[in-house]
Amino acid sequence: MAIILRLDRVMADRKISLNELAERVGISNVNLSNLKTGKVRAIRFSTLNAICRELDCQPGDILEFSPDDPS
Amino acid sequence: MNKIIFSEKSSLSLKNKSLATCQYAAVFLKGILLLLLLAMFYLILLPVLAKAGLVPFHYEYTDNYHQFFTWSDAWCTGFSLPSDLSGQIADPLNGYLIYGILESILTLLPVMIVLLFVKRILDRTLKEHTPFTRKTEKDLRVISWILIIMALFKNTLYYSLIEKFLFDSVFFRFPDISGEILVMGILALILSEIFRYGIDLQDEADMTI
Repeated sequence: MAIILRLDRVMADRKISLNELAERVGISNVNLSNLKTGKVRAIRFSTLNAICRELDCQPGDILEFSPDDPS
Repeated sequence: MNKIIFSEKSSLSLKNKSLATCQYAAVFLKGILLLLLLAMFYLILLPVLAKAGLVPFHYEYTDNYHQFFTWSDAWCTGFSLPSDLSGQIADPLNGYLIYGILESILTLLPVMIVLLFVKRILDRTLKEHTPFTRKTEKDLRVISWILIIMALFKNTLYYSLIEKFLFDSVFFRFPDISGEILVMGILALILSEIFRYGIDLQDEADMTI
């Protein structure tokens, strides 16, 4: 199973930088960058809530499930 | 590995109270280490001064207890041996020096080394805002091995060396295990395993945003 992150796509659409989003959401740049590159293992609902609030999107816009990807 | 962010929103870094405790403990440890260093200094310096004739010295052996007096009767170090075979020390001045050196190296030095490692753990915890790091786990393991080896061999080595150098006789009692130090060593070993698990938990927490 694989959860694919589409955060960079949504960030580009909303024209918001990493630093700005990190500040608005309340997490560090490092953690947000890890999220973008898919290095994180888990995300709290509170964080997801904050990201969706700031980007004005749905969780499904950021997270995608791909059953064929073995990673 | 990214360390967890240190902000109010992070629920998994050390809280202020724990940080304060660590800071007090670090200061306290520094004090203890200084005291032990002074004790070591005193144990070796005074016999040297006594041998040089710079301080008054006399030796008494009563009730199986050897006492070395310097300065005054109130200021003395002494020890007693498990066996009463040896009697008085033949050469008290040299005996005092050898006793001081043995006591420092076999008793004070391992304790100082262990406390130094503990201080390192505390300093690292304060710096990283978490106690669960690989280096801390390794330090705990080292502490446990020092304590276990000390527990098994310290008493035997101490008494046999004292008998050999002070009384020129052979005395060997084994196993003369120091039980409480052994328990501490085993606890430190268990703690290092717990910290290993803690490191995994910390990694998991760090990778959760």
